[in-house]
Amino acid sequence: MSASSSSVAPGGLRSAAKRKTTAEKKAQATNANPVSTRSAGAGGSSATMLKLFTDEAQGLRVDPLVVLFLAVGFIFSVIILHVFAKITGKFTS
Amino acid sequence: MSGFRLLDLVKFFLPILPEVELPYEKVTLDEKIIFTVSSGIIFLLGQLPLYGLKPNAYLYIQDPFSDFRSIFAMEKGTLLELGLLPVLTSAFIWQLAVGFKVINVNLSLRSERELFQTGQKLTTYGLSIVYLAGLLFSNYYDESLKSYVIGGVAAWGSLFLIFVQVFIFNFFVTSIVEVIDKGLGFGSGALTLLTVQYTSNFVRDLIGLEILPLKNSNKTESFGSLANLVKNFSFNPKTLGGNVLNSFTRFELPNLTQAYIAVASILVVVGLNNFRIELPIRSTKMRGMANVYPIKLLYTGGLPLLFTVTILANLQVFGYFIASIFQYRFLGSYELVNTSLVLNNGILYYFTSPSVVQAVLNPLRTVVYSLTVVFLSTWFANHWALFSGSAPKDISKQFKEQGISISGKRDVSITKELSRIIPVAAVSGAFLLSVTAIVGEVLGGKGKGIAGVVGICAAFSIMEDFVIESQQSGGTSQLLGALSGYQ
Repeated sequence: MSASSSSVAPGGLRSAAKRKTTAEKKAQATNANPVSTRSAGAGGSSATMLKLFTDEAQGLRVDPLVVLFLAVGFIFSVIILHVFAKITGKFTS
Repeated sequence: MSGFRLLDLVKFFLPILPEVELPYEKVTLDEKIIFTVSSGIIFLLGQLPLYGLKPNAYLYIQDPFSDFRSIFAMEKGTLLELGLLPVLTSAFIWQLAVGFKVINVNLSLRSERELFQTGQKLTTYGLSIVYLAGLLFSNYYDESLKSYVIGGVAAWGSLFLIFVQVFIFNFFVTSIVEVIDKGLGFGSGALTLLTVQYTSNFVRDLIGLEILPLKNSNKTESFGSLANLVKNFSFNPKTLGGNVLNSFTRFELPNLTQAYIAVASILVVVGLNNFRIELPIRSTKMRGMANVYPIKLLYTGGLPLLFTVTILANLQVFGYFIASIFQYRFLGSYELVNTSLVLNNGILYYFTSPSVVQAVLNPLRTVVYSLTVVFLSTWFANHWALFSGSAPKDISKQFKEQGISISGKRDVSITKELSRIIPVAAVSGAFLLSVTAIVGEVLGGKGKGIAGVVGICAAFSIMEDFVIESQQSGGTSQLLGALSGYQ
């Protein structure tokens, strides 16, 4: 222990340069862009879950029920195609 | 803003992309159950055969992807031809790109988050178009087309119809994923659908009763491995051995070896899931409130393995496209085994799992494959633990908000304490999972073991979600009430 060290205020780093770098580091850490939607405070992927679409973006708004019904409708249209193919196949052959 | 960003391109597509509305009010438990179950059923209906293919098209399609079909719910010759592969690929690309700051996006702004999300969706559509185009140009469907003539020209009309069907269904799959992700179902969309598909296929693989014809023979066999064993079981000592052996080793249809590997992998994961470190925590606001905060060994769940197989599957898929369109033999040369195209040489060959015999005969392939899987899984786990909003910094922030501190530690050192544990847990968990997966694959799991591992990990988080939800709703669920009334 040298005599001069007792005159420095307690706490904090000793040199101005060091104080500046830590302050800069801190500012960088707080201002950095979040690395995922969840760490930004919104919903999204967590450690064990892969959640992709949690925000409501602009776009063609559709009701969830409509989505499910349209999907079922599409599947039925493919089934109807199969049925038509069966029927026409019967007549032509 | 400085210059041009790739993300701004997404803006052009914003008005035409469908966007599922967020629920206006809180979704009740009953609604969640109904939405989850019905989305699962609709997803499973995608196993409908494509229009335009011959009956029993699976016999004619020469299938280079049989090793990872079960993981991505890719069903040969059906609407689910691409399954969840586009969604998962685009998800991993975008989430890692943000994590590594490859794309310039500030997720704390709502508008940027929306662009980010729409970007994922757009990439999903784009990828499904690319995959489908690859399938069509590599003559994947040609021999199974109804209008196929040997030596004739490709029937572009039928191929276009197939393209439209698979693409539109994939479009709906993305929307269904979105419906679940928006909080209308349990868990995360992609993983829930994957689990639904895996569980139903597991049962079908075991006791599926439908009888299918075999290629190039008059014989038929039951689809389910157990069903096949029981059906062919006779006490005639001449045929008994052959029948039992056949039900363990048959190549085209599910066999019992795969079923046992899947069960064993699931048991291993259930066991691993119990390992955890419990940090003693106490409340900073109230005296005497002590509890534990568990940190699981499988901190990132099955995601590292899912990421690894997504990368390997994309390698195989694009490799197959390039190898078969441009006839690059050094990339991969395929031989037809029954209805599957199996790699027998080339670069891609080294990134597929060997069987036990091949593992001994070609140690280089074993080493390359194992190291790739282990490296990708642990690398992903290490980074994902920090990206996913469950990083030590995020958790210590949560602790601070809730007035929690680790016993015997100062507030400032919580982050340090957590970052001593979390990355280690994540990496070693991922390592153990990848070793389980490799062992399963080498013994002949054909992707069913990996699918089981990912599925059971997803099922755990779905169950967690369900339990939390049902506790919060405080027993107001009519469905659960009706079910428990019968006990």
